[in-house]
Amino acid sequence: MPGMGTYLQTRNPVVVSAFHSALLHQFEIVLAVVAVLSLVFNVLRTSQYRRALSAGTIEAAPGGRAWGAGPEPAARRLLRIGSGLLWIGDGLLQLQPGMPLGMAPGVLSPSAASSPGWVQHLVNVGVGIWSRHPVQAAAATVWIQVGIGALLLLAPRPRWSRLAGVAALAWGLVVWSFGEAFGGVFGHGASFLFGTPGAALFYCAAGALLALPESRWAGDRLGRTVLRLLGVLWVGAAVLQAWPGRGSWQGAPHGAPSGSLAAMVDQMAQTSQPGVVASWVRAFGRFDAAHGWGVNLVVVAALAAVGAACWSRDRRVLRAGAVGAVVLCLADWVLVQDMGFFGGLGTDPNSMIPLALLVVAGYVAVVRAAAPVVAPVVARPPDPAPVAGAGAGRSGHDGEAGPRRRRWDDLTPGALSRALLAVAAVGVVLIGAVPMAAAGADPHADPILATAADGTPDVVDTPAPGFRLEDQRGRPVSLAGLRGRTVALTFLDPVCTSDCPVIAQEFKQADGLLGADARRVVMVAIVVNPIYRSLAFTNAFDRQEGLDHLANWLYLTGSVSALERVWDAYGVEADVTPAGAMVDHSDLAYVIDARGHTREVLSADPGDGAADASSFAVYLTDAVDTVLHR
Amino acid sequence: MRAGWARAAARCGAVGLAVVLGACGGTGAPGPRTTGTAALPPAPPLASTAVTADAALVVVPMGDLGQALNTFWELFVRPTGAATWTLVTPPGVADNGGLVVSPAVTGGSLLAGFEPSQDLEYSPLARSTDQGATWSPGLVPGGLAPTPDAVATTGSVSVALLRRGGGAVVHAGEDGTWSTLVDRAALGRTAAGRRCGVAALGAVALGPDGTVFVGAACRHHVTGVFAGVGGTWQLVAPPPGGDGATRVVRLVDAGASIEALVDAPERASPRLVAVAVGGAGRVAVSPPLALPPHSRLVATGTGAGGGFVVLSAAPGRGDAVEVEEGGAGSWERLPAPPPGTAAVAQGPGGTVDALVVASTRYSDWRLDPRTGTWSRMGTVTVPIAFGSSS
Repeated sequence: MPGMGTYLQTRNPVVVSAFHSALLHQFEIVLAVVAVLSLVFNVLRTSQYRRALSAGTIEAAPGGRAWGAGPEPAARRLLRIGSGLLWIGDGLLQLQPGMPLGMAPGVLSPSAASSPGWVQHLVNVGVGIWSRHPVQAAAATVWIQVGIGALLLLAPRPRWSRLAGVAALAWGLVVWSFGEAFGGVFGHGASFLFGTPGAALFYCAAGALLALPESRWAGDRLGRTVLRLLGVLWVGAAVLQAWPGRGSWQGAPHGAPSGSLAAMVDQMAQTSQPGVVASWVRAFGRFDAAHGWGVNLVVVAALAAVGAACWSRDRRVLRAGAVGAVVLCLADWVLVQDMGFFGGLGTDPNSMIPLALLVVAGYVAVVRAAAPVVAPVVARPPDPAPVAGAGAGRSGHDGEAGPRRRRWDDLTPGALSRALLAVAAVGVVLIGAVPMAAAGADPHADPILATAADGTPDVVDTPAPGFRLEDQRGRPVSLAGLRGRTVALTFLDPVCTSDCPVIAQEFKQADGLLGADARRVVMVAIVVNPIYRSLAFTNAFDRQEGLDHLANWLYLTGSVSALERVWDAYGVEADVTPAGAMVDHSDLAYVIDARGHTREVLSADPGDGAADASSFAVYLTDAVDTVLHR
Repeated sequence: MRAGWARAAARCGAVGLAVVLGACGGTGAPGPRTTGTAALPPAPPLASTAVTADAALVVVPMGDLGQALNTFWELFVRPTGAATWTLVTPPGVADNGGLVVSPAVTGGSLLAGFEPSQDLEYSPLARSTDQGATWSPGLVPGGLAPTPDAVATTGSVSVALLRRGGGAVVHAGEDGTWSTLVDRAALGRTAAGRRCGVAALGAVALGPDGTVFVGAACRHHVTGVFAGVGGTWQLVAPPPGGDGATRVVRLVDAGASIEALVDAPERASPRLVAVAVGGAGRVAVSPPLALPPHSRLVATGTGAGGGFVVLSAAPGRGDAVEVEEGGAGSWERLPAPPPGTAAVAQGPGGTVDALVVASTRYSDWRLDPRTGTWSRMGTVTVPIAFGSSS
């Protein structure tokens, strides 16, 4: 019925089921990749063993070469493992069943709500892609983030590990811009305590640091730079928090509007969460409501003190600053940010955990600065003794006879397995990235949305009721006269304000999607308004919808009695409703084959968004295509 | 060096002063006072009433007024001599965008137009010759302008004001074929249009002899009532007073004259005058009705044989009803209407009805002229189909 659009619930079972199926299918691919790489591992190890055996160096193999440049600096290792775990955690949060349909309206769009138009425009690009391909996008995000996390944890150093950093930086930028609207930095009411400048920006920073050559981690310079940049951020946050007129100094005095922090904490207390956390949040909320000015004074002072400490050259001050920063981050994370993922569709633990990780990594880089790396330390196995008659291949040294040595011959089993696991992790990222790229390039929505909204079509094979009406040019048209061509049939009110123009566009879009097959198809609409039914209205509607130049488009009308017979025959209700409502009618579409038999009956309710409409166009195209080639 | 710097500063100051003076129009030539577009009086509300010799009509928004898609515009009729109002909203089209209705002065003809809404970009029409008991469908070639006088009819001839390009006037004779008479740009290029500084077209009316009248919003201090005479457009009313841009709020055929309600603000406060354009070039302008600062019009109405009734609301002062009896006479303030009044109808038979709307309930309160009190006469519950347009 027009105006009674089907609104997809976030946990629509059809979409959730498709999401789980996609994840399962992709997981099977991941398992296959791992299985293949295990096989590769065994082949390589066998090859290593045989070559070592033939070279007489069987004992030397376990002590073979490991990739890398000596021990990894402690700060880098901390940042790498921490980032890897965070990315995997984020990926797992994307598994929530409401993610396909809830992400765009519940997370992406609201994140840009207070931002300027150009930010909203940019975010809308992401919203459009996600809305048109919710299952593909949600599943892709899972694998991209889990893959990046795995790559960070497993990739051998230095190159693959740096590549992981680049991947984290690149995907972090995508998330920060399209998913977080730049962390709200361009929006009104941005607050460091609530998440500005965005968790993804800190993920990007971590990725950028991991992408640096390991030599940069030698000495304390990088650590100090990180801490000083973070110090600027903390002091900036203090200034922002102290700025008058932003509601930061206000609690929730009786009868007065709540201050920004009190309002945020109050909102957080409303979300579903464990009882212990809820009691902490509520207690803090009450305290802030009563002592808003004092709480903000402490917050401003703490932010400024931490920021100043980050610039100190004294390691004791730095330690105090780092401890203070971590305590502040944890307090804000629990009491204000609600750990980031409670209530709604949490996609990450918000900004405070990655920020704390950066602070600690920066501090460790200063206090446990590694000695400058002079040259890569390569543990080579002893050169194998030449074996007479062992073949004409090259050993590792020119001019020496012996079996030809391969790059992996010198690797330890651990290094080899890590290399292969890194390849697997890249594969996991690609399992997400390739469908995501394909989704971004496809302007048409997945038909799953139409299926979710309207159900699966009824597949039948019965003679379609005949009709004899006149088209928009006044020429008589009958169903029998259309025999030999497939007919996509629907019922449209020419003065309808909501569904009918959308359905008309869906038919027009489906006609385009059919390509050359459209010549064998007639797109037919029959007027479903007993009052506004003359040719003047069908022509006005066609002009409005740009259908007046569509060669295979027919908009049929006739006398009220003729129309009523057709409506009855096709099960279409058309009720004239008083008091300013439009004619209440069914949204149905029929696909009639060349023999004049109804083959599919589809609900054509266009739902509530452009993505749903685009989805129905693809859905209708598939149905027509099936009937054409059945 | 110091003297050179001072000379340069003096030159800059002189040039700057000249620029400021120029921008302020200090050297401007004499002509109509001009204001920017921002100073145009606001567009009138669609809620309206009309009274003819045969009946009184009311168009009011009902339903959930906070949601455009659940706001439905309803047409009620009270035939002369009848005690109660009847819902006669033309069926078959969603009217969430607005409904405009024009009665013929005599004969019981009504022409209703549906404003565009959501994805419907053109305006269906509905015609009735029996006070809304039955309707026949019609169509204009575009979307109607959002103004209460976007259509006018004599029964056989009709004009309509479309919204394209700031307003385009189309005309249909007895064969029902529409043709464009003039649009905002074309009117603005005429001598009369240049005097007005046409910002937008806002109303159309048909004189008894078929003359087409167009009401406009003028950037210059001119009453923007144009008459199409002999293929040219002429301004037919003197300046309305006030101190800036003007807007024709209503423009109707009152039988003996064409009457216009013009908003000619003074010191940014609404200030209304009624203008009556009779035969042989007779024009009368009423004393001004100065409304309190920040007032807004809630509804306007026309009386049988001319005259206007204005329902306005001012912050902190509540609603007020003012009546002008026709022929550009003086304004009379009526007792404060009941809370929730959406429109006031003056007539038929000299009665004054305040129509109070609360969601689906439409109540008629009638003024007792002797006691100055309002008494409820009846209530109609309207079967609004909430959600039918969303």
